[in-house]
Amino acid sequence: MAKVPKPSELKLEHKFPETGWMDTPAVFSPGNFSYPGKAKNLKVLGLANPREWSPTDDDWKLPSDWKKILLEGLRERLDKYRSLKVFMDICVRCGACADKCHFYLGSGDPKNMPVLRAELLRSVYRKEFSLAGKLMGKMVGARDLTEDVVKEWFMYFFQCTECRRCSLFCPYGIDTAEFTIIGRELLNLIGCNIDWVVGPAANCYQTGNHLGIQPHAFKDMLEFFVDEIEAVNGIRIEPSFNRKGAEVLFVTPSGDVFADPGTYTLMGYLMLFHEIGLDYTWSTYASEGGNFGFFTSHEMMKRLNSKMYAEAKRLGVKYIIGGECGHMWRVVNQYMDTVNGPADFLEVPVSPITGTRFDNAASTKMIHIVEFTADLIRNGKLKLDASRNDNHIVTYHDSCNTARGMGFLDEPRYVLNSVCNNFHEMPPNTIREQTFCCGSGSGLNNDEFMEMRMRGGLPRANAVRHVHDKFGVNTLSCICAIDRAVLPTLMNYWVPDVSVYGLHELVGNAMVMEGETERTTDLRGEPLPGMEDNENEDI
Amino acid sequence: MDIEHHLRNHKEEISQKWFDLLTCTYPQESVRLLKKESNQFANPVGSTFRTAISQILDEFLGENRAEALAPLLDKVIRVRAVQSFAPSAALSFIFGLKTIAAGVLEEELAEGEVGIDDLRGFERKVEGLGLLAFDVYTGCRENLFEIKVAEIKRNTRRLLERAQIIIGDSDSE
Repeated sequence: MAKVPKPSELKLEHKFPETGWMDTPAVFSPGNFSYPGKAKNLKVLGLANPREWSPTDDDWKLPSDWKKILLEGLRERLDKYRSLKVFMDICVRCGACADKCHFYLGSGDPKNMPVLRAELLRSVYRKEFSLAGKLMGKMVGARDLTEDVVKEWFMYFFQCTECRRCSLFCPYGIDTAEFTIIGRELLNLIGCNIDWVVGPAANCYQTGNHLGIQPHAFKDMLEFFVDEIEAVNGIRIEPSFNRKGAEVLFVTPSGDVFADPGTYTLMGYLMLFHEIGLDYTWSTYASEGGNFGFFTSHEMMKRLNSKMYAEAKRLGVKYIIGGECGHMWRVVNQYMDTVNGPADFLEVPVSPITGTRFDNAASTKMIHIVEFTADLIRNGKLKLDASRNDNHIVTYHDSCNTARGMGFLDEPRYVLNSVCNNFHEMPPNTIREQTFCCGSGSGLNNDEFMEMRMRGGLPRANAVRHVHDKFGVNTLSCICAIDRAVLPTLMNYWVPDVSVYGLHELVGNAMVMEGETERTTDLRGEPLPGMEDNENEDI
Repeated sequence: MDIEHHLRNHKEEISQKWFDLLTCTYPQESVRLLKKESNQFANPVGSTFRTAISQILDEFLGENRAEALAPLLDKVIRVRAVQSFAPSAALSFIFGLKTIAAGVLEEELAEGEVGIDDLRGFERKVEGLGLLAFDVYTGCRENLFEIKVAEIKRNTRRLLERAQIIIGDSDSE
């Protein structure tokens, strides 16, 4: 018979490893990694080493000369990107960034400290590219590039959402997201990537959008929304598709076409453009505002971004308006001009309704719908009844890309305050430039990564809970398609009484349209404040 | 005087020790942040733990109602249920309360103010708390799986609707 253990023998060991970070290998377990890119998607994009594999396998089936490929790839990028070279050398490890990462705050895993994430790459750089590292090795933080290091890179460069909150606190201005961007680019050279990134990128490359929606289905879906809007306010909207000679091309993330609650935001766009009589067209080819190429490599980002401009040229529009999206705007604002621009064949955007000239987009010729709408409201061109949103006590989540990536801070708040009567900010160190990431950006919004997403989203949810408890906030608004897809999940786990709304859904609710029938419901079919009885009578 | 009364007199000390025990389950580099940063938004995990521990102790050493304790335990366990702990490791801090209680009552035990049977009784009570924590942990994990399903449904509902796989619920037409 087995001996009954003594109480002292039952002591549970629950400490994390106490070895130094270099000697602690990455352990892949369900919930902390994303599934690898499928061979068929890699083939579509012409990426290296297409094969079936899993991060939990011992053998990752790397090319035989993987080490040479990575080191040459790193050398090439050090020569090409001056910023990378500088960032490699100037970090003094002051630790200012260490506790600013949402993944670190939620997980407690030191390798999620931005400084350490960068060190994963820097340590190899020292060993291979610096004399001190070659001679003194570990003493100066240098180490060999081994398969374990590759595995660690894969784990932690795909546990970073490239949100850049850390870079805000760096006294040297080191952009740690750039390490992740380059790290992922290097991993792609040997075929290590995740399917939630390369799948959408392959779809976009082939069909024009991440979801792989074909032109007829795209058109069909929008017409479906037209019916829904008519059921709400009796107005029949007639969007046009691929129409040459339209003044404006409108491009938005394809997530809004199929995924709730983004679909209601898309209805808001349709209503707004109809109401002001904008001469615009949708494209069933450039049917994606997002750019998952950005999470693969600079080259892939350029490829996917170029289609919007190619379509704008083909249709002969004057400029582009983009929908509520996050990383689409980082690409347009920070990269487009040098990778595909300047878009000389387009005109500097001028609102046909207010005459406002958007000189901020003088080179890219693309404006964000929120600045367009803010300008309409500022000039009194929209009739709004904010009381229709009185059942919403609203707070606003700044998307990392629009807030930190392009300084887009006040326009969404201006619109929100015009369409809602109850708005409360979250605490200052969690909004605007210091906003906390949703925890699922940069292609990490897949369901197999759920535990990690909940850890990463914890700091954001914690701030939402604060305003929920203090002011009774029940609505989290945002202007990013990934936010709209993932924040409902995050709220469901951390603050279940809070629902997620796109900004233009709230605009659609508040907008009083010419010739509309009496509105009793919002775009979701829920009764408007004061109309609850009508709803019951209908039933 | 019951043992809870004595323990309530040591509440600050117990809170601190229990918090220390909880935080030492994290890597050394992270313990500093969890313990020192006082801003609740800059240190969401540490500050949640600190607040919740105090509230759990108030209830546990007071009225000890399961319906009041469960949401308080949830504050801590909801975090640990998504971190990289095995279920046993996620909840082991509960049982640490036994050792902490015996430690802070050293004098009272020596002077006979608290009997060993009282301590045993308290330990059984901690085991009850452990069982309640198990329910809470399981609830969190179930929630996690439910939200995965809900997310997939949300992302595909329109697609299915369009393919007329979902029959409308208003069906006036």
